[in-house]
Amino acid sequence: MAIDVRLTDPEAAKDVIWRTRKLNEEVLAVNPEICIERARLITESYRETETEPMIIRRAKALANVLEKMTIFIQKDQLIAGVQASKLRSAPLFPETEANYLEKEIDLFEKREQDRLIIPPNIRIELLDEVLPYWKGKCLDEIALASMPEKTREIAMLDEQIFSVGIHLSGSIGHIIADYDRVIAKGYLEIRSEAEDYLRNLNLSDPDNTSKLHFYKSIIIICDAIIRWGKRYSVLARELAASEPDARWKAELEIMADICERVPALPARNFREAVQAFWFSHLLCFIEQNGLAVSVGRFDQFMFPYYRQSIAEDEITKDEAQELLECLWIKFTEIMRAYDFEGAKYYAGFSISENLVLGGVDSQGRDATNELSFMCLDAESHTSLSQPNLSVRVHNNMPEDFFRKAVRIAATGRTKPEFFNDTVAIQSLLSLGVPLKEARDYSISGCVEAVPPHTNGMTNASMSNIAKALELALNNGVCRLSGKQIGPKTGDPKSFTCMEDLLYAFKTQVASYVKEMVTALQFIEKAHAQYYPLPYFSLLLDDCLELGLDFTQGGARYNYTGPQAVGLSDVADSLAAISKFVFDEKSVSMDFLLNALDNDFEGAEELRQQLVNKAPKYGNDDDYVDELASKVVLIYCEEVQQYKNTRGGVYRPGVYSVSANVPLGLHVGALPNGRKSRAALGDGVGPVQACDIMGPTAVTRSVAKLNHELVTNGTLLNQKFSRDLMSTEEGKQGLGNLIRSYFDLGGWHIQFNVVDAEVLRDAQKKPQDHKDLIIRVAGYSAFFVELDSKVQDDIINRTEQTDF
Amino acid sequence: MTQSGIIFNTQRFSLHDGPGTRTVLFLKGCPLDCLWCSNPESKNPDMELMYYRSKCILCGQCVKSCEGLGISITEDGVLFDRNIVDIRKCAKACPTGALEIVGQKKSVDEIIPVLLRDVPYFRRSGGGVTLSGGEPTMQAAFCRELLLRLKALGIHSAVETCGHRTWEPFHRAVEAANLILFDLKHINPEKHSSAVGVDNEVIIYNFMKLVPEKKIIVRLPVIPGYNATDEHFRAAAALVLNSGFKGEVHLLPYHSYGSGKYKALQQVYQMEDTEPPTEKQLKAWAYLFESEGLVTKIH
Repeated sequence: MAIDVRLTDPEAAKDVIWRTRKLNEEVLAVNPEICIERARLITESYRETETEPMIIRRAKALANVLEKMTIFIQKDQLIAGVQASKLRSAPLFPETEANYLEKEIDLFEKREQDRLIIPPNIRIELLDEVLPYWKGKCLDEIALASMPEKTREIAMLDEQIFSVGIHLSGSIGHIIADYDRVIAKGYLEIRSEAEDYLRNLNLSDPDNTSKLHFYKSIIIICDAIIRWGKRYSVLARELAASEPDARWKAELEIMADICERVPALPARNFREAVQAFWFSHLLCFIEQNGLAVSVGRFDQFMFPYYRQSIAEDEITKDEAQELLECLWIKFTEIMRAYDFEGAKYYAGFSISENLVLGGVDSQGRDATNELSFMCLDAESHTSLSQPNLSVRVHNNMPEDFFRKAVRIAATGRTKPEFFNDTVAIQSLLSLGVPLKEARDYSISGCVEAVPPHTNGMTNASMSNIAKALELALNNGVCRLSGKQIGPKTGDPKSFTCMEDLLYAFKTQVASYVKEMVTALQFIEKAHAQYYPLPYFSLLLDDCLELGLDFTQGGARYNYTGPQAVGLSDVADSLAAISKFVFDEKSVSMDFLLNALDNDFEGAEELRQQLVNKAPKYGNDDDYVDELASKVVLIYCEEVQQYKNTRGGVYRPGVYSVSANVPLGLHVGALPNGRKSRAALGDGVGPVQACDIMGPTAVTRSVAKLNHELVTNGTLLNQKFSRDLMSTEEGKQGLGNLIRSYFDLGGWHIQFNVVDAEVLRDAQKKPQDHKDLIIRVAGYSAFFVELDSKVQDDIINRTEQTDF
Repeated sequence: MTQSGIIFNTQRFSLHDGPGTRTVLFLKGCPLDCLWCSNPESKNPDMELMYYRSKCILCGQCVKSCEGLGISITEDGVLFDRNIVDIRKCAKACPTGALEIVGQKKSVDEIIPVLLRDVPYFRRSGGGVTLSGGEPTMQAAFCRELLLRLKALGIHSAVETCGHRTWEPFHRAVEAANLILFDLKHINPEKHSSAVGVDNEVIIYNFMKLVPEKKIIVRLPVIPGYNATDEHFRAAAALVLNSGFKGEVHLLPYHSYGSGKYKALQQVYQMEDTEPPTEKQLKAWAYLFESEGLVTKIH
């Protein structure tokens, strides 16, 4: 989930210790660069291993990186382990990125989203030394070439109906690793487990041939990790020897001791566990470039170490808090050089390391502990985009924990996000996950609930249901390109009722979902063959036991989750047609289609009528909310019938990250009055500025959707004015809103606080911001209806608290 | 046959009009005429036409719908004579909502389902329904029936009132409410009359009589140039204490959020240059009540 980098909660700011403040500032101050080392080292290794099995090649390539990559220790940072040669620089993954790196190399410094500096010598080395090797070997080329022609054509349309780009240009990511296991065992133990499995393999059994290579790759990687950990120990020791500052010298010595032990051996205390965790987590981002490698239930798997260290006086609570904050800052050091298009879909170097707090345990009891509270403090003491923080909400959670989380959310940093245990657990049960593991779910990436031991591939694709409606209203022809890209579902002028239109829509959805799934099957197969992930695999018990790679079905739970984007635009468009064309008959289908063809040119009055006088999703109006539910049902039923290549199922999701903007670029005018190529509505929320009944009406509308059916998750982004969120009543109202939304069956909610810039835009373009509500005692109005002087006043006040 | 009332807004997720998350029903019509009123559309008991220039695209549909009678388009937007123009026709014809009718006649039966929409939110927050206005007790029979229905449904209810209605209908109107938000604009009868058009005799009588009977929150608007003085708040504190009142006191500082609505109603906002009271002043006045043991909040 993309998160704005926001400043610290003013109330919490005064408690922030110097170290956190310093490290936080240093991370924010970086102008991100590209780091070539990984690309250089991977390529070097690939050149030497061409005759070997792919999984061994991957293991050796990773080992080569770990052995030779530059490492450094940032002064005053208590945790060791960096992803690239400089703080917050982006390593490259030519395995999937080579093609776009070559094509877009001169765009990185210029593009608006996620700018990255490429020093000239690196640019030359990339173009001359590294990228030529990858010609014809890059995953996107291989996957696309393997697809049926028609599928490839649809997947690569200029005016996209779905985007599968994320796993063409990047690896799978989206793992919830068994971090508890690797921290407790250490990599030496895992290595010896792999050796045991290997020893007991009957290699005359034809099913076992690939297992030989699998276990060998695990052993190669464990050895490399152990040596890599030691490098940090040696470096810390060297730095300590010449360090004049006594405090930092002592801290370096502790670091050297810790890194001498972990991650090779089991962690014995909180400090070692935090370091072992970070090494293990960081390695995910050195092995592969998939996003949303999520942390899981950090407060659960780390708590035993914390409790023990406190009990044995090895650490004070303050020291543990300081260490946690060091870790919090490290999450944002992870970088990825997205391609131009990807940067739009996952704006803000969005890595989505989702860390979950609270919730019930596997027995259904409240799982909140002291560390859960400390993690919230770490969040409010820092102001960075990662981790993507989630709080699981259930009826028996401690009220003070919930309130603390709400207070942080009220600062407007879009986190923590809140999840409804009841619905998430029920939805996992519906997929056949046993109750114990369903209760132990965490969030992968944005909103996707997954049980432990999962390869969720939960952000497989972003699909454009608004485009499906466009096709239903144009007999399968793309309004923008004039190409027939969907089935011929009839001339809409012949439709006599909503059922006719809905049938055409459903047919269009069925058609593109089938092509999307087909594309994804070939992409998954390409990953399994060309981009296996032996390091990921050793993080999961099941992969080790089966001797089967993560990308090939080794995880216990295997899902593929494509999202629907544009729900609110489709619902509002259907409602407008239902009302004006079929109920009132005040607008003819012919006239409407004509206006759509001309992007409302010369039909502004009709457009205004569609925008202002039709029922809008998000206002607790059953007329349109029922249509939204139907749309969700249609999408879910189409998606959930498919099986993936790893023995798992497809799970439908309704969320967009920032894909509602780029996908909107590929959709012509719509009957809700949306102009051609404008952004689509976000997640399961209403169309921007169409919710004028306030947040209870929004959440009621959204809760009418069947969230349990949307097994890959729904995302609701609710915005508030800073004026309101700075009051005690506002914060309480926010907490109660979350609770009530979840009572009604909502899945997820997060909050944006509207900043001064948005208010200024509302002054200029009131039509785009009709939804901004003002709440004062005994008074009713919307921001856009205020006198401009009063608006100025509110903007000034908002700016003062925005800082 | 249920009672009907004229309402001008149903505002959900209201957080400052009684406990918890509330739905506020705004009733149209008020016996007072406060210069600072932030809901000027609430004063007139009849339906009115409002016009927001910022929403208008000058399409002329309104003029067409009324065949130009009493309405025309100028450089400054739509100009109309509210005594001549057919307000229903032109508001219906307006595609943008720039022209909008305020005030709708609704029966209790029609309103109750709307008020019940947010029951899950009331339950979680200890909220409910607040009747506001305007002056709800002007529509006493409607008000009474609505409150009785809410009571039967177990929904917490509050009434915001200026208290200006003869005791009998006033009492009948508010009797079934759980909480009264009682406004006291000024303690001095002449001063009261000078800015709101009527003196405060009935108001103070009703207040005194209601205190022993109902849970009340006293709400004091703080209006610079009118009542924002030490003297006034001392007198207010004396009166409140004298009544035997033990509840909460809320100070509502002046704001000009309503000024845009005066324009939309083609009225002049007379308090353009008024600055809101300072936080320091507000705290000092709040202290007058707090020091007497009354819980006091500044909104």
